Amino acid sequence: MNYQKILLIVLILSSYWGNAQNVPFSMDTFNGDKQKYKEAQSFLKNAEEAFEREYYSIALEFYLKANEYNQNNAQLNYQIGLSYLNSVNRFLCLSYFERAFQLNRDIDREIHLMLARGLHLNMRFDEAVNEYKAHLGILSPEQLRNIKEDIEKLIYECEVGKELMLSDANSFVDNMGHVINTKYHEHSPLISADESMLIFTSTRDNGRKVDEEGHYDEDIYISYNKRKLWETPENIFEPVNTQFNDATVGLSPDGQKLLIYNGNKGNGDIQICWLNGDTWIYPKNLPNEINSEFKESSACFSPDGNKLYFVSDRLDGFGGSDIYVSKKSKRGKWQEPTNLGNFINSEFDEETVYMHPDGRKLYFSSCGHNTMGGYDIFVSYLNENNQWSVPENLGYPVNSPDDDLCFVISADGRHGYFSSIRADGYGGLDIFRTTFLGPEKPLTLCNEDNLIAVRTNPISEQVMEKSVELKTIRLTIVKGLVSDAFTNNPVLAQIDIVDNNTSEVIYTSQTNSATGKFLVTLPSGKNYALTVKADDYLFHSENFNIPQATEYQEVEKQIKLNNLKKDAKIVLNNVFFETGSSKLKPTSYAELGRLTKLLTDHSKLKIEISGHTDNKGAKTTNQKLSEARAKAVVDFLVSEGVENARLTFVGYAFDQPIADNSTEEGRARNRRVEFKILQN
Amino acid sequence: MLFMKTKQFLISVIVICFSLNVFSQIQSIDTTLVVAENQEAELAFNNGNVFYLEDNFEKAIIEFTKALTYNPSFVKALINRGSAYAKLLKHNNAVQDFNQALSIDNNNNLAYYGKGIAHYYLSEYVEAEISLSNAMLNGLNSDNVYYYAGVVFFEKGEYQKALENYTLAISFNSKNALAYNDRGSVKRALLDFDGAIVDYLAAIKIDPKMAVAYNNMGSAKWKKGDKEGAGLDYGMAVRIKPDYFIAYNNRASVRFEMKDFDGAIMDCEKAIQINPNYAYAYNNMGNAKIKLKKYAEAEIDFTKAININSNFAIAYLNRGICKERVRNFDGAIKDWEIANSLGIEKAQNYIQFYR
Repeated sequence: MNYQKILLIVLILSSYWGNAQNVPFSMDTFNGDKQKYKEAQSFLKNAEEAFEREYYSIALEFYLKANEYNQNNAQLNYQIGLSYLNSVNRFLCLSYFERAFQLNRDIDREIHLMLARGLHLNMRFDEAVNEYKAHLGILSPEQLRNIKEDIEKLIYECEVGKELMLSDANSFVDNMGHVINTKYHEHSPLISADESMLIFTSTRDNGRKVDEEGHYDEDIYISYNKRKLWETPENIFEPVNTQFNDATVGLSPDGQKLLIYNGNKGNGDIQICWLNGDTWIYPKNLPNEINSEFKESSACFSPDGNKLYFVSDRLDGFGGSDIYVSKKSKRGKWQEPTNLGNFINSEFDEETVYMHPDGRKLYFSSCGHNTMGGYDIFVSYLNENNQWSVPENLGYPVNSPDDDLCFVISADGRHGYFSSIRADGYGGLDIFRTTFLGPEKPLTLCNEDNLIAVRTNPISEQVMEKSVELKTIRLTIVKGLVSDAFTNNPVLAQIDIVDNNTSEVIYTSQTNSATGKFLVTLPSGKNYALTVKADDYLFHSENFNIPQATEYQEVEKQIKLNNLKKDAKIVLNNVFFETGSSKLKPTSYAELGRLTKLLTDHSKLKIEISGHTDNKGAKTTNQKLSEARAKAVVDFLVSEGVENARLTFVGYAFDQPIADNSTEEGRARNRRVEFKILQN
Repeated sequence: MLFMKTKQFLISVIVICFSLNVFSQIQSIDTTLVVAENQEAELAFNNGNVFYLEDNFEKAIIEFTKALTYNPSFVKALINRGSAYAKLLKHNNAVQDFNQALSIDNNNNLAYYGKGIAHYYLSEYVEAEISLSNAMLNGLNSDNVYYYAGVVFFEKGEYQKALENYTLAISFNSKNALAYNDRGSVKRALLDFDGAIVDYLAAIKIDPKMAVAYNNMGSAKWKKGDKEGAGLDYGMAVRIKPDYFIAYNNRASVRFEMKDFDGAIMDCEKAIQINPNYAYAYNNMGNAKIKLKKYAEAEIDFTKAININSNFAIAYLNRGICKERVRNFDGAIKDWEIANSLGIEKAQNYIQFYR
């Protein structure tokens, strides 16, 4: 690459660097517009204050306003990313972290971790893993010790996510729609067995703001499904809903008992209320066996109502919140609960438990096991020996890299309802319905083999009777005239017919001394050499390959004999080679024998053996082949006792044709070996 | 007759000219040149053999037929014409000629052998078994007669007998790669995958270019659970025989099972490029695209498979699953109903879920 090209590439790249430059919030940026500068500064200040107080949604509001004035400030983009990551719609953080990194690669020591979180939440698992690893790579040994385990768990979650994404989606997930969901949180759905009634929790506007971020406290709502449409939910009001957070927790299969969470009791306790006609009776705390000094956040009844599964973060668990079960005594009293054990409970938090009406399938959320991120929903099966199976992740699309909680399922197992935050949500947590497509339907591959080889590799044997011996044989009659090549006078010559396969002379004749004419008959089915010899002349040979099936035919030949003098040459018509090779065929031996005898009888003869080809194929190949064939003849003669010094060989490829190369017959004639007398 | 007389006359004239020594000074005469009698049937038969050996079976049949017009009881001509018909895959004609030959010569083992092979290619395994058995009873003892007997028993599902005959074929000719391959397939059918692999390897050792053996060995390894080894063997098969679409399709399936869906699609595309009517490859490509959630493309692939073979039950079944994934439940049910009507029972369970 030359210097100018390098310069051009650098110039192009630098234009991108120019675009990606960090733009500070200074007066210059606002082109002296003091008013706008002040507005932007004000938004930033408010945002920072809210951020400091961890009011991320408020901070986000101000940051986003400031961002409208300058979208190319690395720090602002980073802060927006952080605010999103700490608020509800966490997956929105990614584009801001990416922009911050683009503007300033050193924006923060944790930028790779933040990018990883954003990528993870957006299910870009491979890239997330790379960023997690990049973050690990820049940590000091001490930092690494503190955080390595956490990051490795996140990397594992990404691997799980990848695998779950690849597995068959045997369900659909739909947002419950704007009638149920609002821009506020909706969660903890409870469904009647026939799916005609939905009770859930929402932080929608109930007129009672509870914090500086403008959130309303949680209330419980109820909606009925009429003609496949959910009606507008209604607040079920007091005594169930209070001025504090009231949230749905569990519903008995008959829909008559409602378990609710009251955040104002203890550290969070579970209460029960009964339906009396169409009125819910005042909630009552579950006994101390269930509600402890710790937080109890979720509960459900077994189908017979004699067991209560609940979630508690009491200290005797396996880590974080665990799932416990309490059995009702014969007197109807809840007994001391037991931990469901380490098959169900991991070292991380378990939450939101639900027992299917069949009493065998326990659904719950967990941050442990093989979650793809945050809480995932799992199911564990109770076997006949009352042992829980290893929990199975419900997989994508039910689970996502963010929190998926509060799963309940219809009695027929077709539909599940749960809370999650998704891109198609209305804001905050929404309630989603998943439709299960029944047992897995495996895709069927179609393959075949060639088990019986003969079907594809036919045996090439001939199932046939051999030819029969005939008493009559088809003939080829060769007739012609032998004359002196110079004077054209008839020549008395000996004509030998040689069976090339056996090298035997099978027939000898002579030309008519007066006319030079001859006639010989060649029975079909053999390869013949016809040689013409006369004193003081070079011999002449013809080849007749006559297949068995050849009918009667006549061939005429005008044969000119050359004297044994310098530059006289003949074609060795009965020298044969293997196809494309310089290996002599045994059928050549008779002809070469004649040549040997000629050289023996005339000891002063020095000759040139030349090889020739047709014009098919490359010149270099033909050159090599013609030369090798000429040499093979010379080697044969030497092996028969002819002095090497009397012999030269040369290859002419297709430089000296004696016939038209455009016809097969002509090409056959051009493929030949000649000898020429160099000295006599 | 006029033609025959003319020919005889011509030959006679030549012989006379030859004898008169008009042109040359002949020193000896080959007496075989004397035409003593008419042997047109034999001549035509020999001509037929020449054409046969040149793989020009149409002309061979013409000559054998000519021979049979001169001599309708010419058993050898019947056998060779039957054999030429078989080479042209006209197995019914072949059987006719072999039967005709046997009606004249009931002990002709070659006629039984040819007939057995022709019956095999007509999927008439019982007749094939009887004919091959008669060939053996009449003294034909070659590796190939036992090989074909093995093939027939294999087709009949009589694996033990197939095994015995393939082993006999190998004992007659230890270089019979086809027999090793097929014996491997028998062992595979008997779930002896290790034994099968040993035989496929033996076939490959004899004939390193035997793509079929590589393909079959791949499938044996696949069934054994060695997907990686299977993929490599299929790869060898297509390297040896680049137009081996079956091996491409098989490798696609292994790649599918190894979750290499892009690789599976590439192999299916290759198989289809070689054989555009290969419905299996369309079906498998559809499956891979479902896994990649390319449902619209997958549905097109299944439809192409069905267009090629309207009775392709599995393609209907899979297309139904594909339609279900895009919530086209009515379409899915219709496809499963067709799959069910074509013999796939589990399709009924799929339909039942929606009723």
